[in-house]
Amino acid sequence: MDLKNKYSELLFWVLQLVGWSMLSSVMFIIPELSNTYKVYSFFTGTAVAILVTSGYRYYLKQHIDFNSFNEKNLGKIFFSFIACVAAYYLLFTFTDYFYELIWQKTPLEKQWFHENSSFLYSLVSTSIILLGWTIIYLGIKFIIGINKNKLENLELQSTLKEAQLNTLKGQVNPHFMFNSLNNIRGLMLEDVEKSREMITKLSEMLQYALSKNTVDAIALSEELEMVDNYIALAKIQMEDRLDYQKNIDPNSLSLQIPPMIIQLLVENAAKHGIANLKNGGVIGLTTSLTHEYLIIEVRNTGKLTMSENSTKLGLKNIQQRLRLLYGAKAEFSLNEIEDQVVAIIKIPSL
Amino acid sequence: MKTIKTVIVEDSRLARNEIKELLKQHPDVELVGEAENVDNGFELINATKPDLLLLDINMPEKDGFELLEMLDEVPITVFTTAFDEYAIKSFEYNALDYLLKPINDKRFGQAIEKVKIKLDGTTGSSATSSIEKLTNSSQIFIKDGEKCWLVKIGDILLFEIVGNYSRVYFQDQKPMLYKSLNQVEEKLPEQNFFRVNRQQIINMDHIKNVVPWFNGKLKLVMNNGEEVEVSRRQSYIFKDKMSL
Repeated sequence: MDLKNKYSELLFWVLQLVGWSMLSSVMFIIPELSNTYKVYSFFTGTAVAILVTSGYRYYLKQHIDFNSFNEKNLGKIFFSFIACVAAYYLLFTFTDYFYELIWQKTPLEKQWFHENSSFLYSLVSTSIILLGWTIIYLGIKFIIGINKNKLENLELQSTLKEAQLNTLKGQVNPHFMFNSLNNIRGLMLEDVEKSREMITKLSEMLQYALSKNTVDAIALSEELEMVDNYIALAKIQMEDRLDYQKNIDPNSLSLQIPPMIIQLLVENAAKHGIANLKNGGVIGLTTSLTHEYLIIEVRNTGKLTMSENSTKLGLKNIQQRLRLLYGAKAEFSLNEIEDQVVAIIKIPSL
Repeated sequence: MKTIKTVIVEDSRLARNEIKELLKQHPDVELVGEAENVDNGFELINATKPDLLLLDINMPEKDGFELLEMLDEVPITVFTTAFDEYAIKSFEYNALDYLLKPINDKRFGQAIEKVKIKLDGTTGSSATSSIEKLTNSSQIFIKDGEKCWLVKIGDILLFEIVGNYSRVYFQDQKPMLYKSLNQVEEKLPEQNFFRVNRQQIINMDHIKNVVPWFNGKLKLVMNNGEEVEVSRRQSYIFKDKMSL
């Protein structure tokens, strides 16, 4: 990146020098002008142009974000362009005046200037030249920007895919699956109807985990069904030790959320919270809506330190996916409040 | 026919039912109790002194390994777990059996057969007697860092004081046991374990050589090459015991 910057910086100055000196050398083909004037105007013209456009570029670089271009930026470009034309014209008048002081123009030159270079004429030609410079400069900037965006998009896509895959891997938790199968086997001895129901729930969980891995968003209601299945299966393992309370805002049901996010939080609450307590505890799930955010809260009896020896892979996965999908607009927190572990996710509700 | 006294320690009630169902096919296995967590399991095992422990690994608050650590004497243990866990692989010595849930009837039967063979090998094991002493065929569980061992008392050559704990020498291993040497001494069988000095207890079955030392002391060379010095006072008793 640093090397790339150095390279583009060098390219800029080479282009500046070559471009402007070529443009200034146009003076040499005008027969009416004396050699002194030609040489003088070649150097001062090139210098003035480079000075003004470099200042112009400095301003653009400082004030315009090429990654999120909008009308405001267009205004800024327009006004800095006008300022630039004015500065160019003023400096040019000054160098002209300076020449007059030291060398003076020949009568032939004066006549040529009178015929070819009125105030309006020089203003228009200056504007055209600077407009050309602006177009070339912005053009190059945008081409570089587009390429960069393409790369970043690709990167984003692949990280997102990776995160989704990781979710899947974390989801089909073999320990949970085999425990569930074993419990169902035991359950068959006492309640066949319930065993059948549990097998359906386990199948649904597996189906969900296997089919939603490529989806970025699903309805909250669909995720809740999955969570209910999970709780039902966890309950045949933990029985009375697990108490599940949910409080769902009906308006939140149709909102889109990234799949497996609530599921992972509830699973964490069960695995690192309730499963470690001899006398069990409560898992509470609450969803609520503000005018901007959907707030999902999962709390469980227990302490944060109990989960400290876990790898926290699930939590990292949630954080990563939220960041990739919503940028800075989503929030995730995990805290211990009065003997409860509270996980909160805030995502934009739009 | 002598029955195999068995205890189940497993947190899920349905999983316990599952095991009980499997046990129905083995009338010589007698279930003497079941516990849903480690603390209850610990009391149950101390009270019933079972021959066989069917033990889950993941349980609330304390896991199966912690239960083994708490016990002075470990019954023959078969782990039951829902997944091939790394914990099982941490066993270095005396590989113990484990069964994956849901448990295959045939595999369960094989595990029980293995247990029977092991029990027959322990000559007149005092597992049922109420004497608090361990025997040479008793197993103890040692966990040092990430590694675990189940060691037969008779296989141990030497115990040595390290601070408040003891180092246990057997084969080419020497892990730490988180018990004091005095605690260890109380439990060891007297006929072959002998306190040679303040720091060490040796197993007399594993002495290779006895060398007279100065001041009436003795030096012992153990089967693993380790040399220990017998204090003067203990040397007299030692000579007496060995009728030297």
